[in-house]
Amino acid sequence: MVSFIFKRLIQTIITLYILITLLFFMFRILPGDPTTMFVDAALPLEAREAVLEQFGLDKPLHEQYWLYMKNFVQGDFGISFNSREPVVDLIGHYLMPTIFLMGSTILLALVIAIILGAVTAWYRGSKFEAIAVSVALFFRSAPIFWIGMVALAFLSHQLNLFPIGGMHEPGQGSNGFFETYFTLEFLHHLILPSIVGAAYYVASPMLVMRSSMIEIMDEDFIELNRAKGLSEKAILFKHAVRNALLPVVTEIALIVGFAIGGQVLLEVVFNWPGIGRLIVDSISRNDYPVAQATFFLMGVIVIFLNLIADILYGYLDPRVTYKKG
Amino acid sequence: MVKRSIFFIIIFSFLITTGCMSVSKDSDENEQQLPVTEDLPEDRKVREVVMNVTNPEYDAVRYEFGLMIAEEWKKLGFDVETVPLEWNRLSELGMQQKDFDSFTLSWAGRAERIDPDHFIYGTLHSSLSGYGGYNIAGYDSEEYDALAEEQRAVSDPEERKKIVKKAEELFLEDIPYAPVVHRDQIMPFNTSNFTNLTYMLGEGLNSFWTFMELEPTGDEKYVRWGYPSDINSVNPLSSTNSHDFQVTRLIYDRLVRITETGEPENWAAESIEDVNSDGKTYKVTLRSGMNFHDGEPVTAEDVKFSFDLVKEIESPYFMGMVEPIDSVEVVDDLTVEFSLNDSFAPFISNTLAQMYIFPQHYWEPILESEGASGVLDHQNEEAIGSGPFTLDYWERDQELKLDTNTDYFSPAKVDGILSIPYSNTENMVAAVEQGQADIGGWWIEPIQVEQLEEIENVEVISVPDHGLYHINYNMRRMPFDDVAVRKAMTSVIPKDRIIDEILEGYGTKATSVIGPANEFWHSDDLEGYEYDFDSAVEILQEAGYEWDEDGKIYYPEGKTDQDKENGIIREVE
Repeated sequence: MVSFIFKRLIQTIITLYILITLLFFMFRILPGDPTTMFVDAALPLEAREAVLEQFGLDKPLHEQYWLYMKNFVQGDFGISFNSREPVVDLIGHYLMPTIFLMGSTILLALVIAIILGAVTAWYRGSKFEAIAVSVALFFRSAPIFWIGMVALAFLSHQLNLFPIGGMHEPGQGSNGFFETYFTLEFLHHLILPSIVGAAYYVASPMLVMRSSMIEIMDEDFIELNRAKGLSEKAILFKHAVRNALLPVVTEIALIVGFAIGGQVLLEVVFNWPGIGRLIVDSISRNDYPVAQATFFLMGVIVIFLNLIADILYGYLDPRVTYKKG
Repeated sequence: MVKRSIFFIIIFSFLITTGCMSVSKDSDENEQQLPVTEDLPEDRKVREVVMNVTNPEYDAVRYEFGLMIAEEWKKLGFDVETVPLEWNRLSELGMQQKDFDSFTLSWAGRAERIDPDHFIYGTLHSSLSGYGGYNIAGYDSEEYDALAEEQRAVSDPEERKKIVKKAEELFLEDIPYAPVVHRDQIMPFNTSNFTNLTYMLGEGLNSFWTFMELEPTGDEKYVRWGYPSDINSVNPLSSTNSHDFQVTRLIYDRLVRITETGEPENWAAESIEDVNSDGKTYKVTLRSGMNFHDGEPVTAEDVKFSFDLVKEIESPYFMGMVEPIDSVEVVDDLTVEFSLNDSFAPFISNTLAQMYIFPQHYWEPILESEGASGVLDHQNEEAIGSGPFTLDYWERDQELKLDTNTDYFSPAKVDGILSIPYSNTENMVAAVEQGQADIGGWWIEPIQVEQLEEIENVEVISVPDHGLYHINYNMRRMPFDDVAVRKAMTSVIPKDRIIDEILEGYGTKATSVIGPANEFWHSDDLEGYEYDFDSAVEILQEAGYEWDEDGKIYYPEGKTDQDKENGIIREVE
C-alpha cells in the first residue's frame, strides 16, 4: 500500500512537470502577445516595447522558460500582465464564487444521480426508467450554455422566478465572507446555475450507479434480505445502495475534472464572477501568467483527485489490492 | 407511409429551392460585362489575393461587409479568397507584422481622435509604416508626409483645417486604404430612474458628460452602468485597456476636457495661454480651491509631478502624450509652464485633455521606495484623484462603486455610479431590459434595436460616430502597389448596400478619413468614391489591365507577379 502511494506520487510529480512545461509553450504558441490589446487602444509603439521589456518578453524563449520554471518551483506565479496584480491574489478574488457554484452543482448532481440511478435500476424495464434515462442523456448531450440560455430566457426573463445572472443584485456593497455567501439572496442567485450545471453532470454518475445497482441486485445477499422479510424500501436504501456506491466514488474525480470545463461556460452564461471568467479573459488577452496559473490549478485538482480516488478505492473496498506491475 | 412521403416532399422542395437560388445567382454574376482579350500570356495573370476579415463573433459587421466587398472584387476579375481570422491573429499579422493582402479594420472613434492628427498623421505618415506602426497600408509619399507634418505645426484651427483638407485630397488621390462607413453607436438606456441623458461623439453613453449630467427621478440615485467586461486595473499609470480609462477619468481630473461636441474646454485649468503665440510655450493656471479626495490641495507641483512621473516610469498610456513636451516648470502655486520641443497643434486636445493630475504626496513615496516598477505594479486601491467621483470599492467581475465627490467644483447630480461588468453583450442588454442596469455601455447590433424599443422604459440612443470602418490595402505587395487597382477596388465598394443591409440604416457613408460626425474638422466637399462598376473597369483598362474569356484579370503588358505567392515587392522595415 505504502509503496503504491509512493509510486503514484512519483508519477504525479512527473505529470505535473510535463503539465507545467506544456502550459508554458501552449500559451506562447497562441497568436499575438499581451500587447495585442494596445492596438485597440492605439497606444504608441514605444509603449508596447516598454511593456514587453517590463514583462521580460523581449528575452529569448529558453531564458523565459528557465525563469518561469524557477519561479514556478518556488511557488511564484508572477503578476498579471493586465492588472499587474500578483496572480495568487487575483485567483484569490475569484476562487470563492467558483467553489460555491461548483460545489453546489456537483453535490446536487451526485445526490440526484445516486437516487435516480438506484431507482431506475430497481424499476428496471419500467416506463419510468426509460424516461429518466432519456431525460438525463438529453441534458448530457445538449450544450450546457444552451440549456443555460434557455433556462434564463424562460425562467428568469419570462417568468421572473430567478435573477438574470450575477451573484448579487447590484449595489449590495463589499461585504465580509458571511454576508456575501450566507444570505437568501445569494442562494436565490445560486439555484438556477446549480440546477443547470447539475442537469448536465447527472447522466454519467447516474448510469454508473444504475449498472452498479443492477449487478448488486443479482447478489445473493439481496435475496437473503428478501427472505428475511425486509421491506423492498429497506433493501433498496439500506443494503443495495450502500454497496453499489463504490464505483460512484471514482466517478466523482472524473466529474470534477469534467465540471471545470463546464464551469467556464456556466459562469459566462450566468455572469458568475468566478475563475471561469478569469480564464476566458486571460486567454483572450494573452495574459500568460494568469492563464498558466489557472490551467495549472485545474490540472492539479484533476491529478490529485484521481490520486485520492485511487487510494480511497482501496480503503473503501479492501478486496482491491495494489499489486506490483 | 404518410410520414415518409412528407419527408420526400420536404427534401424535394429543398432541392428545388436551392437549385433556383444557384441559377439566379449565376445570372446575377454575368450581368456585368468585362472586355475580353484573347490569348493572354499566363504569367501576366494576377495572383490570387486574400481578404482577411474578423470572425463574425468578434464583429459581425466587419465580417459581412468584407464578404460583400470580396464578391464585388471577384466581379472585377480578381481571384479573392476571404479568410476570417481570430482578432488576436489578425492584429498580429495585419497590424504588427504587416503580413496581409487586404483586411477589414475599424478605427474606434475616441475623444482623442476628434483632433485630426490620429487619422492624418497617425495612420498615414511614412515613419509609422514599420513593424507595429499604424500606417498599415505602407503608404509612403513625401508630398503627403510634408502635409501631415505641417498640420501638426500650425496651431490656428482654420489654417490647420485647410492643410488637413489638402492632405485628405491627396489621400483620396492615392487611396492607400479605403474608407467604407461610419457606424452609428447604438446603446440601450433604461429610463425608469434617470433623466437628462447626455451622450458624446465617439463615446456614446460611456462619456464623462453622461455621468455629470444625469438626474435621478426617483429614489434610485446611483447610476448602474453595464458593460460587457470588467476593467483590468484602477491604476491608470499601468492601464492599457480603454474601458479602464472610461472609469478612471471619473476619479482623476484633467486640465482640459473634450465637450460633447468635440471641442476642448478648460476644466481643472482656469486659463491656458500660448505665451509667445508660436505654439511652443503654454502657461496653464489652475482653478483655485481644488482638493484631492484625501483633502490635500491640488497644486502646480502636482501637475508638474504628473507629467514628469509618466515620462520617468514609461507609463504605456500616457507616455506618448508627453512626448512633445521638453520641460514643465512651476511658476507659482497654481501656475505651470509647458515648453514644447516644437509647436504641436494637438497639444491641448490630445495632451492636456487626456493627461490626469496625480497627487504627488501619494505617488512620490512609492516611486522613491519601489522605483518605476513599484509604481506600475501598485494596485492603487484607494485611487486618490481630484475628479468628480471617489472610489468606494471594486469587487472584480462583480461591481465597482463610485461616490459623488460633493466637494467638487461642479458636482454630479447623481449620488454615484455602480459599474457592473457582464460576461458578454447579451447579458448586458438583458440587464438593461430587466431594469437591472440603467446604461448599457456597448454597441448593440442594429437588428436588436426594434425589439428593444418595444420594451417599456427602454430607450435606444444612436449617435453618429467619427470612428471608421475601412479596408487596408498592402501597398508593399502586388497588385495593391498600383493606384489603379486600389481606385478600382474602392470604386466597387457598395457603401449604400452595406448601410442598408448590414447596418439597417445606422451608419453614414465614409468619403474620407475625417467623418461628418466630426463637424469641425470634416470637409464635406471632398470627392470620394461612390459605387461605379463601369468606371472601375475603365480605370483598370486605362492602366492597361486586360481580361480573359473567363473574366479573369491580367496585368498590363510587361508586368508580372515577381513573387507568385504573396506578390511582395517591398519588405516591412
